[in-house]
Amino acid sequence: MIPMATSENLRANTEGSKSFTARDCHARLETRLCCSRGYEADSDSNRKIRLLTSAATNASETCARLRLGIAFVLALLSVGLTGCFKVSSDVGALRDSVMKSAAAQWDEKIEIGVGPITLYLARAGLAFVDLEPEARTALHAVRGAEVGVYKLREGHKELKRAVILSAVDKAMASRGWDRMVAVINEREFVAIYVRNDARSTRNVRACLLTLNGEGMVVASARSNLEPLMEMAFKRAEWRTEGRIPIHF
Amino acid sequence: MKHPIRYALTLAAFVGVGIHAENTPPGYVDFGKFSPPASGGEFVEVHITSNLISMVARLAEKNEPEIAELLRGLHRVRVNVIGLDDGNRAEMEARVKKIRSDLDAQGWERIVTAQKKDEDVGVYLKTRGEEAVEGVVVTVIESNREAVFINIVGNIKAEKIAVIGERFNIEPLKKIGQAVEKK
Repeated sequence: MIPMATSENLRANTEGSKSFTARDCHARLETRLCCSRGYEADSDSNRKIRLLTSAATNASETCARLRLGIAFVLALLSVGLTGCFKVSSDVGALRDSVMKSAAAQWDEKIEIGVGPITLYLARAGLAFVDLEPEARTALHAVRGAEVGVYKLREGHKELKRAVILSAVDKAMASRGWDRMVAVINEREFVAIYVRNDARSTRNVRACLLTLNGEGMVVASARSNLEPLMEMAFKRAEWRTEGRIPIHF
Repeated sequence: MKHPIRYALTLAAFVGVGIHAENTPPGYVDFGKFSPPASGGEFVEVHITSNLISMVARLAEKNEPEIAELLRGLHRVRVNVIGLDDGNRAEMEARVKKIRSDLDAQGWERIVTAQKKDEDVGVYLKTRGEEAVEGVVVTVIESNREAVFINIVGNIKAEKIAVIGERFNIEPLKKIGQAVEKK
């Protein structure tokens, strides 16, 4: 810091040198004073500039983070929404194998799927709604579900069920699914497939196919079975009192 | 050796068959492939493998420990119900006859035979001494309606079968349990 100049200092500095007029001294003194105040003024403004600059930097960083967050939420929403209106590749393979082997024309009525994000939002929303305990348990147990509904273009048509069943079995087996149940009669065709590598009861996937002369429904669900089985065991139908004998 | 590759392949085929034979449980019976009847009659096929049975056993442990214990001894359950029509009746009857004669030849024990006017029922057991039942086969022909084939494969304690039959009021299981207990 430049020391404050005083008249005495100036006089002392100029002793032994040329003598100056009082006016010169005063002018020099004023200049020194102005310079020193200017230095202080410079320090203040620099500080202010630095403060303003850092505030601006912080603001721009916050803006950037906010934009990033909004973009992320929009991406999530778009994935959630666009993912809602199609089925997974396994269910798609199930559908395609039926369509190819049935040798008929189909019209898609609807395809819809709900994944973990949508279910989480649904659970959050329904937390404020008065639901039956069993319904709430089921909602918490389900991890994902999808369904596709298709109508035969020709109306009521006789389908070659044996051919369709064989084709669907082959298509699903190549993707790691085993047929657990098939029920076929005049009115209905139902097949249920499960993953052949299923081990955990907390994440079980099943695919369902139903078919009749008018259309087809394919569906898939992924669920934690434990709460559902607990619920099933509690129901009155599992009690043995008054049970009708089973013959075959 | 003139054709080493051919020799190696033949040997591998025999070894593979041997391994497959070893892996096939004693209580398993291959009924063959069934197709839905052309006339649109009934067709039911249930095939439950060991991984699913294990899962169900774990789920049933808490509420039905007896069922869970029985399930843990099961390896496979297969049920076929085929509606009979003029196109497949003869074939199904012939298949039932062949399965029964094969089971007799392989040492399976016929514990229930019931032949009424329009119903023919056969229940066969493959036992391991007096300790356990390794397989159960049930064949039913109802002449005008349907044919039923059931194969249960596992390591089932004989006394458990009767308990489950009593618990759930399943008549055939009660009979099986009684027949095994008489031995």
